[in-house]
Amino acid sequence: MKLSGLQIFWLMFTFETGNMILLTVSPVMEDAKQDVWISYLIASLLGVLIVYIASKTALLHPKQTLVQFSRSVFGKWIGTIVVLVYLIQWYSVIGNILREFADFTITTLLPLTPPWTLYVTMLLLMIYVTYIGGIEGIGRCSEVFGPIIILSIVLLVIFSLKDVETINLLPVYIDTGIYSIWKGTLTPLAFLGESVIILMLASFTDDPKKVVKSAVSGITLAAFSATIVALCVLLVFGPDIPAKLRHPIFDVISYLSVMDFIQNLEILAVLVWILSVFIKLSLYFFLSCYGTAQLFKMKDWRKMIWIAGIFFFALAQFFPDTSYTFGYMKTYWTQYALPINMVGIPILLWIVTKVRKKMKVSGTM
Amino acid sequence: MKKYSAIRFCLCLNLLFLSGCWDRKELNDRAIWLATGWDVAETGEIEISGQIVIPANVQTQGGSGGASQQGFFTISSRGKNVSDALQNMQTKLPREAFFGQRRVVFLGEEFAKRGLKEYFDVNQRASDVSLRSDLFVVKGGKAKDLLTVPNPMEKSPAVTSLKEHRQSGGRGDTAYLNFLIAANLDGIRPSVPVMEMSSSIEGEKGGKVDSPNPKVVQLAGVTVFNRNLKMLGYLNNEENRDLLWVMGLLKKMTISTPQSKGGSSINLTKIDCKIEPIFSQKNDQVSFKVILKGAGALQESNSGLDFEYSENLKLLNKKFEKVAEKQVQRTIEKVQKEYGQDIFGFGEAIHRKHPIRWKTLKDNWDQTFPKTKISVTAQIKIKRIGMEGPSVLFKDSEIKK
Repeated sequence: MKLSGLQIFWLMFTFETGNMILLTVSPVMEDAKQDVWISYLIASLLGVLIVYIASKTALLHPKQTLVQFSRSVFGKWIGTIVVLVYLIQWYSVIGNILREFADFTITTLLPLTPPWTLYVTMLLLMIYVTYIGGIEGIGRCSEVFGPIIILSIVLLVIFSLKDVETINLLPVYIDTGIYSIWKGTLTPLAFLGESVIILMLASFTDDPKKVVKSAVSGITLAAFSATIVALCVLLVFGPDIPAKLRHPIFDVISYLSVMDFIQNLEILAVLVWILSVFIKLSLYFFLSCYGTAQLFKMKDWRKMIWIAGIFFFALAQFFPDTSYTFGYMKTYWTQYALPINMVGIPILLWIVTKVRKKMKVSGTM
Repeated sequence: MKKYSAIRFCLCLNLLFLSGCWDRKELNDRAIWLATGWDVAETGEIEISGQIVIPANVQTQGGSGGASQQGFFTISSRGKNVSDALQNMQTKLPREAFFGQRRVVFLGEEFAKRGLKEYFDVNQRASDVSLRSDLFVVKGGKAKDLLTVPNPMEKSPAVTSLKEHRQSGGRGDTAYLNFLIAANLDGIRPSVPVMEMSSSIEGEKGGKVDSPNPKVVQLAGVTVFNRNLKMLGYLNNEENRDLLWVMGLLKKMTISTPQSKGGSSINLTKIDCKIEPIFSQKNDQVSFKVILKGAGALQESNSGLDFEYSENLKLLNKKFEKVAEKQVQRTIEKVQKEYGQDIFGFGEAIHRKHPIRWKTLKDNWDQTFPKTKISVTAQIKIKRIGMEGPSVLFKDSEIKK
């Protein structure tokens, strides 16, 4: 399994964009109102910083995944706990995304289909790509899907240009203030921060020199797309309505009407979104299987796929209702995963590694 | 790899069962819903009416001509709310209603007066209904009656009203979104366009569709809503245009000077408006300066002025400006006096330019607005004068150069 620099770039982009565009716009608008673009810009800057630190840290341990080097950095016990913290995040998020995916698809496309069929279809796809291709298969898929997503975003922006009201941007800052803007920043940042998975991915690359550049530019592009889309929603609908809609971007797309015959494009948008969700799910799926296998020193990580597949199916079924997935994002994801998994641990890893290396150097001298 | 062939076979088998046949919906199981009407029934319940396409009668041009039949029919039923009414309606509708093509919503007068806040949520909770939709109040009548009036030019009343609205330079299919945005803001109150039933020849009662003077639906101005989304009253077509001009939504408009001073008309196509809030230094009283801008082509001038001379053009520009200023000023004053609701968005102008001062003003805006001083100035430019200099009906000696 080898990843090229280009694959890391598209992997990072595809993995972030879909869900970020669909899920973050509404909560951010709720807090930051017409200053939503400031929130996204701050989140973009910090998100890029996170991925930069994470990829630098990963490169300090060539050919090792997070599971391996965290034990060599922190020692056996603390290292294992650190890995467990990440595994909890990866395992729980898959159930949540599966649930979200089924919920959204049922509401918009297939009102009579029971959710478990959607879980099973998606899980089978994930199992297939992970089993046959591993990380390389997912990387290649994202190379195909990424450009499709970019193209749809460009089309969305072009089509919505005629409905844009620049007056919706005013007044800047006064209505919200720094606290609301910062509160708004947290949600997209918690999504961009997911890019810490580069700690795992960097070990698969065939060209370590390119890792930082591709990961950072992939996240930059994702953050940029999300900012543009949020701006698009703001300019078309103003700040108040999107804050109350669950998926404002979906409504913007169904609002599009170009020359009275390009209409009702929302179904295509859902399909494009599913492409991105597929990449996201498979990537997390691969990471949790591979990570667990490494943690328990299993010889064949593929055996984990079967156990994990069943576990995720049960987990998705277990999530009781929509408000629970919403709460998951608002509480666990932004209040725990963001400060611990995405900011705290990567920085700690980086510092401790540096210090240890220095001590080693001075010790030998 | 041979040992996995059984698994692969099973995976392929799944395709047969999992390829999404749960939600198969054939086109001939669906009733395409073009417009919704909302009324209050005699019993006090909500009455929903819909205009549905009859697919067999919607032919493309060049088909088997002859006396073509109606392309739509209207259906209605009552219930506690929309969903209840729809459930009742489905008992007489053989196909499932599909709302993806709904582009127009009509509100009966009584329903609009009762208020929309408690009933209107269904429009956004459903996933197939677009925010792009036109919204009308039916003046002096019920929405379900208006939905039965066909037009000889178009396939259905829904398409007719949408096109009439667009042709007259109004909001068109952004009316519903406009309404929602206004309902969410403190500095502007919603205003909804009005439709009424009328006849094709003015002053005569309309007959059947195939008669030369059929009944038609006609754009008839705009309504004023208050903070609680209840309708208060009407403004006529001319006042509607003034309102849209101040809001900056107007797309085209004709201004005419009175006949006694040599009636002239200009067709404005580039229209814009600026609202400037001014705060007096003494007691912080707010007042507004409205600057209307417009440019377009001269349509007619019965005055004998020769427009190849720029002084004459300037003279006429002044005249148009005076007419526009007077007209818009009168409309604003009427709204202030009669309704006291800021449907123009003056409050939003403060909100955007002086957000800090707006914080103290916004709670009492309904009380402040009627007492606010608003002055209007217009800047109108004739860009083209058409195919003649002076009018050809005037002799050389009568032409003023």
